[in-house]
Amino acid sequence: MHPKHQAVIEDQVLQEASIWFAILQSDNVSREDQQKWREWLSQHPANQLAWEQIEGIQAEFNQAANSSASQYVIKQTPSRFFASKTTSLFSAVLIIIVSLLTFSFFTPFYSEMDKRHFQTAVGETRLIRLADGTQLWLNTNSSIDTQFTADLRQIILNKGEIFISSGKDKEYHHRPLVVDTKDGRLTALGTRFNVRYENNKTSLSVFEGAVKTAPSQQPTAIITQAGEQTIFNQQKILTNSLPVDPVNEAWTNGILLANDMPLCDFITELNRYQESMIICPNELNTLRLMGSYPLNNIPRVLTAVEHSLPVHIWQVNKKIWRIDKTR
Amino acid sequence: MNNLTYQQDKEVTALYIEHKSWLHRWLRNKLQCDELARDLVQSTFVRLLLKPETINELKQPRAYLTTIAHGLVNDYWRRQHVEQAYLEALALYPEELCPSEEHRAIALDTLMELVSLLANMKKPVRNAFILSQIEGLTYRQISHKLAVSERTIKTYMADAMLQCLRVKNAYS
Repeated sequence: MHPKHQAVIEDQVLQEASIWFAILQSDNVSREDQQKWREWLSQHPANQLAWEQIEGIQAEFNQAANSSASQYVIKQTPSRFFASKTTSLFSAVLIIIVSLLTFSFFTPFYSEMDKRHFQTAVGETRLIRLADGTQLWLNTNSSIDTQFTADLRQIILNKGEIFISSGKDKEYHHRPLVVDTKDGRLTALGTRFNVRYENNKTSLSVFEGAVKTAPSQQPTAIITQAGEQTIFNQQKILTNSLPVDPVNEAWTNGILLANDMPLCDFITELNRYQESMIICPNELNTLRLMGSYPLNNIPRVLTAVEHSLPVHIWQVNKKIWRIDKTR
Repeated sequence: MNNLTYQQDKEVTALYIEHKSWLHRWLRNKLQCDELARDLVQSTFVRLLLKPETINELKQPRAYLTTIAHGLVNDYWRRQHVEQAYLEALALYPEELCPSEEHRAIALDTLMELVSLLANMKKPVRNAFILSQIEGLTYRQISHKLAVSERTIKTYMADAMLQCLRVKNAYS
């Protein structure tokens, strides 16, 4: 670090300048304070020099504030890179000086914690609007916990599938929005994306913006861009940069989308939305389906399937159905 | 750089001969990289040469050299982190994609400087300062967010600025 000015300013002056900085940054600066500050400034050239340095430092931070990339870097920097030092005696003295110099008042102590649990039954989908403007669709048989703190919007996906259209978080200026599954952490920045957790893997589809994926047992993270799909487990990224499947968004509109989908895959999807189960013999997987099917009316879906393919569906017992080729 | 006296020059040379091997081993152990360790041994002694006035009163050279080297290792990791995060950020914000090499270098230097300035602050002080200077929050908003009084925020802000000023004036 190189000092910008040749002359090194005395520490006493730096201390005074810092206190003036803190006062003038306040929400309401009194005329009296402004007047006193001007007097201080004119008292000594060194004071002016120190003030110029403050303006320089402010300008540097301001430059970073105007760039999303720079903001990101500063906010992403974990504490361990900010090796903290022990409290100096000076801080203690400063607290006293500042309290003597200024009139201020205490605001009530409150912490901004909001912990909530949401879940859906089989066949149910639900739209949830969170406090920050984020819209969250919960698919069938899913469960999440949300926890909003001063610096993080955390959504824990315990099971199932969620689609997120993230809000701008105007109130707190972009607290990171994260989705945690047992497999790891997804960090969103102004995006629409889908997360599905099942069979010990998590699959992410990004429709807008970008999402950072960090498997829990891996030190590095990757970024998934809009239009891409990433599948990962605790240990590693399993597949990356697959194109997204619109089926992962269509469910939020209550539609099961089949785009040349093998019949048994379609039935597996459908089974997620009902208590009873349809068995699809493997040999039927050569048959493929095309179209959009309403998830809120499964009997109608089955009739439509019977119409478009040479199959019939019959009930084996109370819980089990079976699909077979028509002879 | 200040000119070294003949005496100081001799002392640095002696220090270098005596201490470079263990320092190299120590750094290699920290960094897991021989090449890098060698570079940082050089940098450590360069730092020493920049402050010749300390050489005469060096009572515990081992401790002093370790402190300098430790700082350099921290700087190194910090730079690695900042570069990595900056590349990530460019991928996340397409509107800032593809800055020129020159722009990129300047942005990185500024970021390194800011991160180093912030590095000197205690966590709550740093948080308050970031919220104010980077995110543009008012003291009232910051005090709600960090759940401390506005008066404390004011103290934090003064403390933060003082840290920055001290670094700029090569104190600390």
